[in-house]
Amino acid sequence: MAKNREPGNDTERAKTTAVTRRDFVKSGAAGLGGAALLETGTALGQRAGSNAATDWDYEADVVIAGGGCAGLTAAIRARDLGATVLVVDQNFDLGGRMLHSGSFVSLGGGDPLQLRDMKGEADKEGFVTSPPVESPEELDDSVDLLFKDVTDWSVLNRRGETPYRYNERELVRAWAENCPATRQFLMDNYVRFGRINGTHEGGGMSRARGAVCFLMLGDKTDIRAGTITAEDAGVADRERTSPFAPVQMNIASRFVANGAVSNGVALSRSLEFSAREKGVQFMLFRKFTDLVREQPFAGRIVGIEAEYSPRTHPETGELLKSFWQNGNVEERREKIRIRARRAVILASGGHSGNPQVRSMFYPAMREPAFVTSGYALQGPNGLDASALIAGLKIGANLAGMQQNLGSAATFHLSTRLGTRDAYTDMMPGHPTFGYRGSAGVNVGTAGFEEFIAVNQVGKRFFNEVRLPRRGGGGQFPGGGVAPNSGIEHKPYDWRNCRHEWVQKMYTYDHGCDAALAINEGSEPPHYYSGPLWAIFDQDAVARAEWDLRFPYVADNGYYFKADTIEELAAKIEKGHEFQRMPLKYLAETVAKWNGYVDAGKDPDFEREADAPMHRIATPPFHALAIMVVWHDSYGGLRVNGKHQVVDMRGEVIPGLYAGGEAVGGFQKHGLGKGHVHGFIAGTNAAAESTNPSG
Amino acid sequence: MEAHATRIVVWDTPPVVECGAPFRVRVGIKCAAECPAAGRTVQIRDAGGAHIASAVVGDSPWPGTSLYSVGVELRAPAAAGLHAWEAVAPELGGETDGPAHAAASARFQVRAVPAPECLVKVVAVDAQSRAPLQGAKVVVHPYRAVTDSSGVAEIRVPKGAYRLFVSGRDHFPFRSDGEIGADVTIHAELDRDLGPSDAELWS
Repeated sequence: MAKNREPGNDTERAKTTAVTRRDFVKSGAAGLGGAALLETGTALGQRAGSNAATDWDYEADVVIAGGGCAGLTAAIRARDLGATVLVVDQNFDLGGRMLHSGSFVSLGGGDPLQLRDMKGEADKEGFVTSPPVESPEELDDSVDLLFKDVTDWSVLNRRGETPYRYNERELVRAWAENCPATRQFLMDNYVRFGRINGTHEGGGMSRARGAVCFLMLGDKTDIRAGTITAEDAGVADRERTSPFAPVQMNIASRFVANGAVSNGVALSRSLEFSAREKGVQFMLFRKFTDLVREQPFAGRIVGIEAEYSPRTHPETGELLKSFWQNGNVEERREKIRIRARRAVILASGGHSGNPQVRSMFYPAMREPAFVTSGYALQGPNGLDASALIAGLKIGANLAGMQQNLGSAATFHLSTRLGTRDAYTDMMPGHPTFGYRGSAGVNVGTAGFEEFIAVNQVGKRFFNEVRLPRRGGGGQFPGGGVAPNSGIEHKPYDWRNCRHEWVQKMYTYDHGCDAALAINEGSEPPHYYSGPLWAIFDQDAVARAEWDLRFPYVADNGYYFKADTIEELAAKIEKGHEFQRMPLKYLAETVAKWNGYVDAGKDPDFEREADAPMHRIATPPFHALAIMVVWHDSYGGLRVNGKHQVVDMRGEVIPGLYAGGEAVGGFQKHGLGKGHVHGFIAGTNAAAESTNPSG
Repeated sequence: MEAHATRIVVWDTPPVVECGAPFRVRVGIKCAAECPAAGRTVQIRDAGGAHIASAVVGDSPWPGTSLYSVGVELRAPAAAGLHAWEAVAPELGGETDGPAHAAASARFQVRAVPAPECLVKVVAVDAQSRAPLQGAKVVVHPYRAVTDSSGVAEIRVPKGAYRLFVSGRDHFPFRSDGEIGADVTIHAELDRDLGPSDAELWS
């Protein structure tokens, strides 16, 4: 366990926050009217009854909804520029999905990391001892090339999707111009990067631009020193992680050095540490719900409304606690209003956790059985479209709403089975593990050979071995989605989408879509497709050596075992929360399948062409839940190059900024988008003049 | 009192049996209400319903289950082909000290094949490291084998056209179609299923 739980001692905090400004105010006790203005040196003002019309409970220069990738970056940036900053977040801890991400940050445009690796240099602390992975030519980048790459109309991926064509040009120009500065900003806030290694989806085809973040294993967890204990990193025990790291960190010897570990923990905890050290204030368990505008569809944004959203430990029932508490504002009133003296920044994520909203893109994904990635960590309010919903209420415009259907990372069928939270694993040791109950079993794509996949009535629906295949691509080094890959790629070249070429490289199988199709159990009005099950026998367990025990599987409704197929069907119906009907065809399906195996032909789905088929005959019989995961959110609020939210007349909504997955118009997977958004939004929000109203 | 339902399962059926050769299957039964099924009789019937064999299930459940089972010795039909047989647990009348148990049956198929003529030797390796793949599944339908620690499996087949699959844990299947008219050695290089890295997944 980390000893160093409190970033920054009091002296250091005083140093970073001791600017005595008239607007650093704090009222007397809540409920007292006519609050006196006190210069306390705290970065947050609490007011009560100061304005009968608006009745603010708190105020700060910049108020940020969401403490994830974009929100934390914006908070630090605005704080660096002298603003007081209050971040509200619906969860019990900071970081959003960044905390359990892979930390692969794809930027570029000649960013400092590209320059470092081009010269073959190490990081300034000397941790990075691995040699550069990419050649100098592959790192030789510019803002103009990056901009061209992310507006490259000519690229289609293996699903025939166009990852760059519909990007908002002003938005991605600003992004490209701010990539180098954002990389430096992150490194100035304790974020350490390994070697550049390829580029992330949506990050361009022409150059290598992405790298993971790391910490070094050491005797204590010390963000300033860049070290983390094996216990905190979750690498001391194969089956246990820590409250510090929801997902166990990865050994990063290849791209950093021996003794390095990487994932979103190295990124998120470092930024959080810096933010707390610099005096950013955080109100957790506080779900952003609404914007306060001077008039319903006109005037300035003057603040937000937010609800209490407590989360408790799944076993003890106690209120969860953030890993660090320094800078937290304790507040348990049901609803509060927070005044933003300069601006509000919406960084509360996308809509992947809101089945009603995401169904506007794919009606089948209204199915509530399928949750967004990181469900256990984020809780039920994560990625709930709060920014989009609040923005629409005050007249904001939308952008890129069609782009959800242009990325393999948006929704897909996971190869991790037997857990509700199937995008990544999580081991016991993090307090939210109980919300998923099991880590799941990652069977890989090849593992789909070992079972049949059935729908909610127990019928097969697709060739199993083609189910998990994903048709992604469209980023450096290319992977065969354009005639010329890597540095040979020519943006804006019509030959990249010559129809003969596209026909040749199109390889998508649509298995996920078959999984979501209407079946005999689909009932109006929603026609839910229902849960999906991998059905196999004990021989498959032996062949594949799957470890079907806790913590990989559990008695949590996502794994079942029975002596007979009939009993297995009954257990699934009784034990899974979204299994709305009997799997009445399961026994018949298994018998038919065994007949196909004996005959060597699968007339239903032609599986004999792709992989061997195996009988399902030897007891006990098993069922693992197969999950469709909606991960990314593309489509959201429209912003301009300053990240000001724009209304439906094309005019800026004064005092309102947005970033990360709350924003639409940029089909880029992951963190590289959110950090730059936060950097730009934080810069401009801090520069706003103080809001005269409210 | 209503009779308890009986469940019956047949497993360990060999994928092929040479015509007329002996083989064995395992039949397990259980009471749906979890009454011990030890001592109950199971029968095997051929496609025409003729009785072929009977056996009595043992005293202890099959590992990991509550099925009481028995290995039943059988002999393959003389004619090559796929034969649909049936395992039956006859009805068990109620006794003074216990409930009645309904009958149950389960179909299974026996593939009788002619004598083999050719030896197919498969050597399975990882395509990148060249390391032998132990435990890889080799299927020359309907013949099956598993590779040993040297990555080698041997299957004897009659002459004919076949599709060979070799698939290993965490590896994509290797496939080869062709005529087998003599002994042959096939080198199967399997690509590893690396899957997307965490970085690729997450960013």
